[in-house]
Amino acid sequence: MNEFVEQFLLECRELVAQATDDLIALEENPGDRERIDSTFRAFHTLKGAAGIVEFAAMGRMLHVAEDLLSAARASATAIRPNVLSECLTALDMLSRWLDAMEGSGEVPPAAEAEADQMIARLALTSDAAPVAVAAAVDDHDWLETLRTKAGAAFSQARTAIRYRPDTDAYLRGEDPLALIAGVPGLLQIALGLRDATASLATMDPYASALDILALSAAGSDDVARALAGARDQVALRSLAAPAAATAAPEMARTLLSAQLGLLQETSPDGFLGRLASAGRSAVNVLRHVGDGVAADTVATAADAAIAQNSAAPLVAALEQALGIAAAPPAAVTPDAALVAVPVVAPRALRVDMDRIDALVKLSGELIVVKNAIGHVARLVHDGSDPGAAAAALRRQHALFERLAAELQGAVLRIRVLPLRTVFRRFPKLVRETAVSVGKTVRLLTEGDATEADATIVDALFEPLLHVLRNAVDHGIEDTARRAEAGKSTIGTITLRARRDADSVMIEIEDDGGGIDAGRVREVAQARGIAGAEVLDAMTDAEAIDLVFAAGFSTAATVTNLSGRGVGMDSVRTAVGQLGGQVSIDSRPGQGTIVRMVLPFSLMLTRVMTVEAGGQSFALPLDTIIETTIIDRDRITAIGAGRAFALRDRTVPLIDLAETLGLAQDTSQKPHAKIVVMSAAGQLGALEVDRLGERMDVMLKPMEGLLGGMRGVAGTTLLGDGRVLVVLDVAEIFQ
Amino acid sequence: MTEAAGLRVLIVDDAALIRTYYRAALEPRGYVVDEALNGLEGLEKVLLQAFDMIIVDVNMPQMDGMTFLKVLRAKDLPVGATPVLVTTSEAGPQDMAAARAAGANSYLVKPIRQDVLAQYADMLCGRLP
Repeated sequence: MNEFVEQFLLECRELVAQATDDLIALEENPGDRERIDSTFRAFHTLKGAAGIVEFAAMGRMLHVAEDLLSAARASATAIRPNVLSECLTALDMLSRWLDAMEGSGEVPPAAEAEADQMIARLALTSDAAPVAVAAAVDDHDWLETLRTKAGAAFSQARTAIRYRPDTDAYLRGEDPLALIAGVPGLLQIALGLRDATASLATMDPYASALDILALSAAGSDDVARALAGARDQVALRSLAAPAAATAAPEMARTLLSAQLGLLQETSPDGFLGRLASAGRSAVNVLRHVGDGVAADTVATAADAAIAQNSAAPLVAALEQALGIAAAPPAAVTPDAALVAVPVVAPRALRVDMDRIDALVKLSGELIVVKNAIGHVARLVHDGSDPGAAAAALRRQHALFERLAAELQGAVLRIRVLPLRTVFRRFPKLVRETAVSVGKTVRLLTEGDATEADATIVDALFEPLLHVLRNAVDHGIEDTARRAEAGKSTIGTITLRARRDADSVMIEIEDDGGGIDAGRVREVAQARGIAGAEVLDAMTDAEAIDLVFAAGFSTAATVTNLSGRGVGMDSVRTAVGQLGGQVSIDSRPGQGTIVRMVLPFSLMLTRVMTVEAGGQSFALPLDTIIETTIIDRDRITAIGAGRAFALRDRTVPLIDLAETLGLAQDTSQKPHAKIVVMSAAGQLGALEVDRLGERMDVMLKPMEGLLGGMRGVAGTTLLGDGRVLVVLDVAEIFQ
Repeated sequence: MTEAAGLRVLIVDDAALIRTYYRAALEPRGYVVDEALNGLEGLEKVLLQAFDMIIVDVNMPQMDGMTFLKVLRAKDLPVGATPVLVTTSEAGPQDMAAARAAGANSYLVKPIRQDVLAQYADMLCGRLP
């Protein structure tokens, strides 16, 4: 047993005696503030002592009693007699426990059950001070609920969480379930309703009625950080096992981040002291972990900060120190509330051990192949049968090809981040934008666990923000108009993501008024984007697509709300730079969907080469459905274009050479070589002169003057130094 | 083990058992430990001699830990710059935010293991590795 038991017993007996005195005096004079304070403090200190000797039952019981006393302390009225008598009973029980401990040196085994009974009795004093005691009872109950529900898992838990989202949490764009799911070390979630008697009929679907209980294996600091966005709706309890010692680099990062957090405080009182203490602490931490260079840098920055009476130099130095120290990047991902580090593309990536292991394994296999090829070379050199050597070489080549592909895949998976890292910044921004234009809008996110290349995830923030702002500002109608249209007065915007083969699909859907194609035509004409005839010939969908045209939205905007008609052309440009596409789908009165299709990774694209008009081009393989050769008489003219029947579907056919302006006459050839493709959900076919080979290429987007070139996705260098143009099929079919 | 020879730590806590517990975590590693029973006594000690670190409880009679911390941070340097570790049994995010606003360099929720406390002291005092 614990070396502190002796002193524990001594001190507890004193405290019990003192608290008993106080309680008896309070029975005489229930309004004595000093006595209430003194009792409260004794219970508080007893609770702390319980922690030192790991006497959990005692801690639990005293916690409930302490809450009762704390409520009495805060209340202006005199403390109720039944609270006093139950607190005295609790002290009697504690005295018996102390006696038992003195005999055995151990925590008495019956204490758990007795503590539970005492907690129930303390809870029954609820008529004394309804609100506070209800909270105390509640507190006990929810921990008990978790204890029952979690079973064995409870013993692994270090933090118990109760999160009761405000009823208007959804309206503020908060997503309680996503928030709780983001808690580190989550062991158990128990969902309940605030009001157990609520029925489906009476429930308001826009009001949160949730009462979320959860257990986490992480410490309360980490849990609190994860839930910082809803801090006033969350109660945390540290459970039995106290924080364990952590690896030094990790703790150093935590402490350095804490100093950064301290520097975010702007109150003028004690500013210099906080600044200097943050600097001194950070220098000490760096010295302790042996990073003398960083310590010196931070020390210099701290001196500069003190001299300038500004946190900026120290903040910069700490950020640098955090960026350099190669350690778990948990702290690099900035946490809005506690560590307000500016968001930049992460220089450090958190990588699963499994993914690294996969790389290690693959590199081992590559070495085996290398040795095998060396063996084949020796065979050839020794003049063995060339046929056999060639066969062996082919086998190794096949193996090498597979390994190279796997290695590439493994490397790509290292660069992957969940979209959550960008999505989670939006609820607050949407809420603020909505408030600024006097609307109520809730943002729902779906599929935020979808992964994509880190570069893409980072670059998505701006375009998504543009689209979301537009949705709030122009998409969602004002309350009066929504009411008129028979819609809920609360607008809904859904931000959803999903993985679709090699691409990532992101949709921003609002339930607003939709885009008025007529107005788009007027604006487009007024701004000289297209002439009246062209505009009239366009379908509504084509007209609406003009919102992406450069110079379309400047001041007055489609849905009348003036102001920040943020250029949707910049969205198309940004998404295009990432190798993606953006489209818009709008129904009058029902809302608008902006859809972005992005590549999963920026690195490699599988293409197939084709020849047309004497030149080579590449088509992205993921857009190709099949290649075929058809008799020319199966091609029929439809309007200005051509089409052919593929099984039971009519597919529009484009002559690639002709479309690209390469003079060509194919009419006399009896057969046509066709590539059937899927672009933006539609089937289409290209006629080419020759079908080439498949290859993986590093796609380089067009830049500078050629950046705006339609129909070209980018270029890549071929092995012989020639430039291969990779076509953007969707744009060609437009 | 390198000794933290001469590094001075002040423990401000009204519970004698807790002070003893912390002292037992630090003294074997070479820290020189002093104690104060509340914030007011803590301030008296801090103004008389320099400490490399202060461990302070929140809930104390006469002067609580938050007030102690705010007064400390308003003192001239270097006293105002002393690294402070706040320890408390309250674990809510608002409690942590309040401690940070008052100028805490770190925050630990009781009960605290002795090895953890020692590790925090090593870091915040800059004990050489």
